[in-house]
Amino acid sequence: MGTVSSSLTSPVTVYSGSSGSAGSSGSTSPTGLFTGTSAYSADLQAVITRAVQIATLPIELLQNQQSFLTGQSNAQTALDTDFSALQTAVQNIGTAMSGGSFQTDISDPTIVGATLGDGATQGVYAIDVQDIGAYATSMTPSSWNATETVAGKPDAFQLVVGANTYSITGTDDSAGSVAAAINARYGNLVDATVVNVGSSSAPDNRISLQSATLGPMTLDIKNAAGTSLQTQGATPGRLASYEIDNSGKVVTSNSRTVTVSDGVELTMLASDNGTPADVTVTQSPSALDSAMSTFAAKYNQAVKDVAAQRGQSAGALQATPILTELQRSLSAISTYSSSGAISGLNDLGLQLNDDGSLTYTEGTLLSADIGNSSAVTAFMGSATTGGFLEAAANALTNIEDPTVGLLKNAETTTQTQIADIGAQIAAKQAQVTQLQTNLTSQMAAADSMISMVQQQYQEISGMFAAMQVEDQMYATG
Amino acid sequence: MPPVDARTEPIRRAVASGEFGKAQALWEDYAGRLAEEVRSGTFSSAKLEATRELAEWCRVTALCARSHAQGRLNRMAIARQYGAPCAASASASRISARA
Repeated sequence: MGTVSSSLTSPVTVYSGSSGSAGSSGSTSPTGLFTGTSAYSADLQAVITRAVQIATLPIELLQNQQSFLTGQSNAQTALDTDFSALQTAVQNIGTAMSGGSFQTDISDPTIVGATLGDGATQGVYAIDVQDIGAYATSMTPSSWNATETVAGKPDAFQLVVGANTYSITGTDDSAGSVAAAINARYGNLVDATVVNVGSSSAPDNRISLQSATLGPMTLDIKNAAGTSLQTQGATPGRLASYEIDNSGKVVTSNSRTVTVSDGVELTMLASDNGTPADVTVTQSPSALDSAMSTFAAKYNQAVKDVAAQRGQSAGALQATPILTELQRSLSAISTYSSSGAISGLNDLGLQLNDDGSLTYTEGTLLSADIGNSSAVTAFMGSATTGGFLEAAANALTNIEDPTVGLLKNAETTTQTQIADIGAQIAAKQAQVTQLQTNLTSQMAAADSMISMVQQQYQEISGMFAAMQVEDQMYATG
Repeated sequence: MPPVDARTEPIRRAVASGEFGKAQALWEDYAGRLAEEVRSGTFSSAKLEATRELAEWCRVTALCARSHAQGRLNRMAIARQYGAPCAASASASRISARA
């Protein structure tokens, strides 16, 4: 934002005229008077003051424009804060609906763990972990002693994972280097590590391979000659096996983390010896209610601040098109409707009042969700899959998007205008200062000249008077 | 691969699966039965060799498992330094044991 020198907002500077030295620019007078030595110094000051006042008029106009735009900018920033908070509140509803407000209760946390995500619903999942499975392994049968065929040039080894063979080359042929090369390139398939199965005084370093997935798998490292360097694990890998909800159907998996329902992932930690573990998923009423209450509060703040810009004693954005757009977006959010069993926000406890604000009744959404979860899910949707959350998110993105959002663009445009006017004011200010300097210089010269003429006149007048006195004295003898 | 022994196979399966707590309990039970055999005079040198082999296998397997786990922990710590995405959203769930 441009700034204006305080000298332009204060009364026009008054200079003291010279006391006889033509061309000098004079100095500021603390009395505010052009204290020239001529009898016309006050007139000369009046000329300067008048000229500077006229020259300053365009600056005052620009200052008024700048002040108005600054007011608009402040109002836009305040609205931006409101709508940004509303956007966050909508996102938080989505988070609460998609698992953030769910919690799990596990009868035996040593058997299974749970992670909830999008689509999770309340319920009890009984999992009978019959076998958590085992990863296939292999290990060098004796100390790793591969040496480079050509000194300084590491050999290429073959990594065998199941039916596939991959070429690997470390920075050298040491166990650590080969294991690091395996992890770097094929860590998604197999994990390699160097294990000292001896003692610290008599180390026996070997490479241990472990499959990334459960189940039987051949894991090997072969040298350039094709010789196997690993021994397969004495106990082969096994798939994990489990049964859900006493269904009688045992399922196998090559991972210990399994999805038992949309948004519900269970991680098997140990076999349960025939006693299933119960995972109870419940929705936290406080989290969902809190998200809805916050949404209503943020919405109401936005409505209030938009309304404050309209009507009598309106704010700086009065009659600007963006107000209409903001109002339209707010209305689109609060009046969103659907053809499903849940038709509007009112069914979820958000009542639209006559003044455009929302009132949230705690517990309504949770009750609706328990009673007809699918209808609530269909109405709410998500930020990307339709429903209220997508509609609200889109409406707020149109306002808050950093590059194309209405408010963001308006803020940028206003700031640019303020900066332009600031530059214009600075240029005008320089012109007025120059004008003032020139005029003061001219007036000082004029005052000096007049002063000199007055002085000469007084001398001549004095001489004339003396001559008259002498003539009279001569005539009277 | 050693012959399958119905009494030691559960120990091997538990160790191979990383269920070391369970393996320890099975070992204690197995060791108790071996002690009973020694006292009754039915324990053989072949059984002693098999037990030694099983103990050595458990030791090496446990060492390997610990080394693999340590390697994963190290990589997780390094990945966290670089802001790698978490595998799962832990904050999305709260787990509590049923009283």
